[in-house]
Amino acid sequence: MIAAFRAEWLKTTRRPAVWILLGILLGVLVFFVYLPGWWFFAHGPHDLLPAGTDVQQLKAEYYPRLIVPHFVSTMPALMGAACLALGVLSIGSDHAWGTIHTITSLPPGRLASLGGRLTVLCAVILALDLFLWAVAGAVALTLAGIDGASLAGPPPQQLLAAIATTWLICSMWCSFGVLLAAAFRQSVVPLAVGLLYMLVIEGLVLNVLGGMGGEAVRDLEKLLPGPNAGALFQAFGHGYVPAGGQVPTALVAAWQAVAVVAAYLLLFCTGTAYFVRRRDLT
Amino acid sequence: MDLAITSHALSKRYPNGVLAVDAVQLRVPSGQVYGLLGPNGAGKTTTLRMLVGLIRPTGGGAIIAGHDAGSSESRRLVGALLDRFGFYPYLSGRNNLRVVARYCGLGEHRIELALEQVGMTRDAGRRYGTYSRGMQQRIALAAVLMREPAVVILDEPTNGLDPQGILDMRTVVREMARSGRTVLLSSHHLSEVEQVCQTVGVINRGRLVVEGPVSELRGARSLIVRAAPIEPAARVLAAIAGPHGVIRRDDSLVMTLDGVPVREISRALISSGVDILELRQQERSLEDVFFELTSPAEARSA
Repeated sequence: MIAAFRAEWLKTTRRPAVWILLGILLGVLVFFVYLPGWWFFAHGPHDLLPAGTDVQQLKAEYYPRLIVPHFVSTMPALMGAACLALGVLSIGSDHAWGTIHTITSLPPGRLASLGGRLTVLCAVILALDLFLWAVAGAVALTLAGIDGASLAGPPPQQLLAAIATTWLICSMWCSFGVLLAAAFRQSVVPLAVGLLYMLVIEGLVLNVLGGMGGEAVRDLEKLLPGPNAGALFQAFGHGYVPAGGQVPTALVAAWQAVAVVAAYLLLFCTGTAYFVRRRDLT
Repeated sequence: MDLAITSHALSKRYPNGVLAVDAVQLRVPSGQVYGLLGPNGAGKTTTLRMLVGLIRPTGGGAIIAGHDAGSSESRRLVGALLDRFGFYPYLSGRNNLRVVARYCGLGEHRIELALEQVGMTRDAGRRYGTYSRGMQQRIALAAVLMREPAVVILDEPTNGLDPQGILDMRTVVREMARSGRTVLLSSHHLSEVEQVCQTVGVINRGRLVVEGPVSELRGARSLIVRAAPIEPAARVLAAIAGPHGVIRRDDSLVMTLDGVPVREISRALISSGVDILELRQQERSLEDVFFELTSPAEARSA
């Protein structure tokens, strides 16, 4: 599997699509998640905000101390979608280019190749995760420095747990993409199906149905990957809640959410292994 | 005879019920170039893909150099250039070979050597996606050569190549055979197979209909005689070749040459007072054999 890892690392890290996804995430982080909000709270017009809103507290969310709740309440959905796309492209493009035939006819074998591929994807996601956290940290430090606020960061164990959590959840979405691409043997349909499920079915439909008070929907949500990922992020705290506002409650306990997300990661990898091992390459 | 590839009742029935390969028994001698011939859809590609491990047989199996076809041991010994080979369009030719080399645990020096062998050293830094079909084929061939495999499987290796590319490919195949490798290639270019293969197998509708050395399949040469008058000429030829050795076809006689020198036949005809209008040797081409074996029976009788 080491041979497969080395080969997959070369082709994955040189792929322009990977760098484009990284560029998009970087752009969103800096130009959507940090700068516009900070600019608004720093320079107004504050009369647009509801009466009694504490602008200083809102601004504090952009400083290093609150980097964890700010990051996990804004970035994961987009990071998950990008990682799903990364997973789809990883196998889907191999089918489109015929490279799956070339690779499969080489010595390591189907499962070893898949093992190398999945390991590389997890490593790339870890690198991407670390890079985005580092950029968020740098931006937060800069903004705090401009405002003359405290440069102190969050507790290290909280930061490490948040990095590990975003990595786990992004890896899970990526493996979902890999599974879809292995099942459909292409990129377009799996990408559409994956994003539709992730953003529309889990992100919208279930939220609307859950909001209407359906207990059955809430029970169902406890078994699904997206709501569990959300519950895990909620465990890191929440942003500013105005006086009298409602603090969001987590769907399940953090340990349960970790177990469900990890189980999905394992399930998606096993499902992919089944398709890769059993299918003929015609 | 030492065999590099043997298959026993190798079969593939697809889930839609189509029997693509039906109990094929291949016997590919070691160190030879073996041509697998057949019309489109005959089952050549499916057979080769089963040997490489891309498709699982639904019956029978194959052994390559003592290992089950498709096993990791056999994949180590087999280099394959399939009709749908693919490389990463965003990587350079050299980096594509690097991916293959890493998968196979090969050193960097093999990459440069293989690029040199296929004449791609100068263009190896360009993106694969910008290559012409011929250049892509060369990179694919370099990926095979780089691994120095004992058995080489080539599926329609000259498809889409220009005449120079075809010539180069032929040279490479011959060199592979000279260096002791076994080459199994599929093609529907009969002249190509005739020029490079020592043994051929003809596959039709999923079945191997004939297999043997090219010279054996062509059979004995024949002699075409046009003479006047034709009846005494036929009697003279029948006296030499036997009554079943001569066939009358329109105004000609076709005689099977079975080691009888042509000059003796010519002398016998002249001494019997027959005027010889034409005396021409004819050799059955592989094409004749191929069409005899693969055309439907009704088409042949017509």
